[in-house]
Amino acid sequence: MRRSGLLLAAFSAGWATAARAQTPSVALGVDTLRPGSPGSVEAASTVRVAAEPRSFRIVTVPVPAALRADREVQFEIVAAGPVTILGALRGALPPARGEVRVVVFTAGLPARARAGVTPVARVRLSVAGGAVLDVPVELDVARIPGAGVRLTRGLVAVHRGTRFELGYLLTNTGNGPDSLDVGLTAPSGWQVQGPTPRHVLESDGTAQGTISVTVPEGTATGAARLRLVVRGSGGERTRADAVIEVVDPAALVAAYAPRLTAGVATVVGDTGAASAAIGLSLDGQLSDGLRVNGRLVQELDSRHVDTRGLGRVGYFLGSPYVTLASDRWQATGGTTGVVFSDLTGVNLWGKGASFAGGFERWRVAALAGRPVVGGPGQGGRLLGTQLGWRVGGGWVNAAVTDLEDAQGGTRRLQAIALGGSAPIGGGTTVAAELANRRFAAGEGLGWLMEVRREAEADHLFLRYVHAPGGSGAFARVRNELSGFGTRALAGGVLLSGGYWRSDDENPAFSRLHSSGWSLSPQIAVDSNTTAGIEARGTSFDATGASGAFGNAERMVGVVVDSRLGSVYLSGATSIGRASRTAATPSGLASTVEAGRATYRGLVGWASGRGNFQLSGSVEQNGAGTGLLPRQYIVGLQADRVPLRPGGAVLLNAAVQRYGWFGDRPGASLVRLGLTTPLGLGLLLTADVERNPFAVDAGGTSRWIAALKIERAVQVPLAALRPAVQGVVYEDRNANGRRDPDEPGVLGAVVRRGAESVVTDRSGRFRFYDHTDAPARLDETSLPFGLVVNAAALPPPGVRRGDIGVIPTSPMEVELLPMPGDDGRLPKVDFHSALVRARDAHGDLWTAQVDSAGLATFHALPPGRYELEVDLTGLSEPLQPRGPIPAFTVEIGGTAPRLKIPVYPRRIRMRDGSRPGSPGNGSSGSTP
Amino acid sequence: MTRGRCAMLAALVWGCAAPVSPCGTGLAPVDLLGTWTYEGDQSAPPATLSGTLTITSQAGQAFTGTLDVTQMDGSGSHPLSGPVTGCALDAASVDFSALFTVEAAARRHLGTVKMGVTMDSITNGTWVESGSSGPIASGTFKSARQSGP
Repeated sequence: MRRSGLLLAAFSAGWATAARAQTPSVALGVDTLRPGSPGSVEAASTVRVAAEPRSFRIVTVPVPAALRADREVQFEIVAAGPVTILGALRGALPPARGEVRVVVFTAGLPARARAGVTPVARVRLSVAGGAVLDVPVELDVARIPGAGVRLTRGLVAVHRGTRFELGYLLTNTGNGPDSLDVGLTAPSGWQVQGPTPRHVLESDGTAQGTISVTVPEGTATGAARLRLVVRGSGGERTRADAVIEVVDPAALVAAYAPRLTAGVATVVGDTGAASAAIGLSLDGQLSDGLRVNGRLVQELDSRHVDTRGLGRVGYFLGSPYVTLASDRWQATGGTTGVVFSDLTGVNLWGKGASFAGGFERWRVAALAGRPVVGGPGQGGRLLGTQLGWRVGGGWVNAAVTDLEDAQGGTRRLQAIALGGSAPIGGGTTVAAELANRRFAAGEGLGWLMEVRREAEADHLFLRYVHAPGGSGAFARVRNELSGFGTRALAGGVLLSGGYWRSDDENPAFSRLHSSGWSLSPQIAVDSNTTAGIEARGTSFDATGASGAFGNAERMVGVVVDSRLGSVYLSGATSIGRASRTAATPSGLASTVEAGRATYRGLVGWASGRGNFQLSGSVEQNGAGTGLLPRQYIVGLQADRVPLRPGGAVLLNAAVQRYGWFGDRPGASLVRLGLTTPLGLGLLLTADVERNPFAVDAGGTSRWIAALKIERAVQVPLAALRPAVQGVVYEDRNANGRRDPDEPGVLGAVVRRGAESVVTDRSGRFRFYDHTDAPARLDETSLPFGLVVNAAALPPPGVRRGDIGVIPTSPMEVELLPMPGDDGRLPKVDFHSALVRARDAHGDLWTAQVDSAGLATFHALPPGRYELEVDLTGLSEPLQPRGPIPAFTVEIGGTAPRLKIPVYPRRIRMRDGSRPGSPGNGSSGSTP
Repeated sequence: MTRGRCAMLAALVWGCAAPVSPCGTGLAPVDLLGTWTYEGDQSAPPATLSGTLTITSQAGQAFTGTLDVTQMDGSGSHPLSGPVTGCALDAASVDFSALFTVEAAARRHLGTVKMGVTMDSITNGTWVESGSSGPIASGTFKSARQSGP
């Protein structure tokens, strides 16, 4: 009942609204009209009717009361505005006492009728021998807002870290003035410069504009989408998407030219300046299959060097090296290291040369050097080689090594080994090795066994090693038994576990035993969150020259990790017990066991505006276990925060607060770093740090400031020639050749296979991949009005091929409705008309047709065109008569508007009494 | 109180109960306060260590301080620093742990203290760094006092 009442009320309101729309807004001529002399014309009050564009409106003009009701009234309707008047334009209204007589006609409004009050007609009323009244009729055309936006380039190619202009052409397609805001939605981290552009446009008015956008330095290469959104007072009007192709210029250049970076760094502390250090690094591709990588950081005066400060700006002293690598082998000179096997030598680091290669049937590793790491060295040698042959699906290996390192207690090994590995099915591989090991204190037979299983749902690794001599003879340990495994269970549960036990001996420890286990079930709560339980136990016992000591720990806890978009969270807590033992040569022995609890949490946000992280941890440990009894750490860190658009100036900052709840004074570690270009290709890195744990002789910590200036250059090598290169240029005369006055096109995207490059200011492009793929210009990246000169594309396979683009011209074709045989002028909306131009290559170009019949080709390349007109889709089919003229578009010229008369179809009468005659039948039409 | 809450409380009590410290607060068996040089090496992977051990407070056997070293290995030099907590087991043995800020691991040290006329030193030092999954590295060290209280 209540619902029915509401419906009735709504219906009544709608009816009243409709009635108001039908009724003229002004009462007519009853107050101001005075009968005048016969033949004189007097004005009556205006009739105003609300209307909408592209609609037919019934207009009712009441006869003013001033005209006598007992006399016939003659009326005449005179059109006076941009409307079509339908109905009888003149006539007579008979006398009608007591009734209001009205003149009724229909006004048809075009789609483009302007908003506001528009005079459309004048109704002249007269009575024989009496006064003549003119009643003006106006339509109050409703405002229909609208806008169109077009990008001057559909595809814009930019280098990351640079700013570019996104150009647009805005049109007010509404029927009244409008204020339009052009907003831009860009990917996270991209910076849109300046306020939102606003354009106040009349109807059909256009404006051009640009929006500046800065691409962050760290943006990944590839295509990104930007959305241009046009808004008016009532909300969004229209939108357009732009595709931005982000290209890394350094990567393109460096593809075949190594990047050499040279720099100098120094440290300034409050105890005086330290020695400077110079750095050189080399990285890049030397050829298709060869890459170079190297580094040298050398202090200028080793007596006054501050390694901590230099490390803050990325200079880690020592260990220079250079590496050449292909996809099958790698060779290193300088500081280098190799891992042969647990039986023949691991942790081999020194100065010399190494080589490792893996080929289809065989592989090899070799090392020759001196064990010099972190000092002048004390003699020794690192010599070894390992060869492998493929046998069936497995490998057979042989290795020989001769190793001696006097640093930190002499390690020595001479070993010869034979081993192999083979798959046994089900994703399982077994491996074994047998070696004769001769070391400082003796000689022994070492052996190794491994089982490795890698299946879809589980992984397993079992290992036993017996290496006489232990780590004192270049093994990791003397004896080791270990096993690790994971298994994926139903419901997103992942179970992981492990066990290990090892014993070792080396110059520092006569015995070093360790063991441990872990068990960790983990469940995927959802696609972003995992939660798990972790239980573990570890212990070690060591015996050295100062006595024996050991630690043990058993902990159980929970871990939760989650990621919500660019925000990540993690938390963990664990409780357990820790023990500590010590026994001195004097016979003192102590054992302490106490509880332990840890709580950790972290929340971070990784974005184009930087990476931010807040972390905190609290530990509570029993006294005497070798751990700080009570400790909390709160840290706030911000990395790669761009201070200026483009990401060239980056800030790094970190603050960590350490507290021990009164057991000892709290401490704060503060770091602040800045990277900024200085011009001329120089890059400045500055860093200040106050580390409370780095104290001077007086026991106080100090601020350390480090500065580094670097410059990187590409080292072009003669062999690194582009596979294909060329120029995109404006072929202004369309002759297919580049003439001296024809400029290059900046910012055009040229693609070839998987490579995409952007032309420079000269229009040049280069490709380095050696493929047969042809270079193709992406026309959507061209400025509006330019197209590829398809008649002059470079032939496939050429090393140098220029691509010409030619300017286009607009062309208008006007469809003129003509009277038919009956003299009637057809009135149709031409929106459904299809107007196309066929060029000399047979390609079709389609025009945009408005309701009045104006067809516009916005951009036609120069050439001769045949015109095709299809009007069968109109409400009243029309057709041109006679041949449709062709036209020619000249280079850079503006062709005159082409007018095509179109006619209603002819009507032919048929004579039904004469079968077979053309006139047979009731009626018909022919094209 | 639910059974679950009881279990949690018991676990916490079990986890945090502190026994009597082996490091008494009575008379210090050896005075360690001051700044000490720190030189050492790591067995595997090979590395050298050089820096400063600073003992800032000592109460009986227990002492605290900082360790600031540079570790030089095959990849270059790397600074390490952090708080130190330790115990003078007797007049000739010192046992301490360094907890470096860049690694979530404690490096346990045991050394022999020698008080000389011309120089105080810690000799025959050995260390083992243990993480959550067992020992990570081990090595030796020695120290000499640069300045004292």
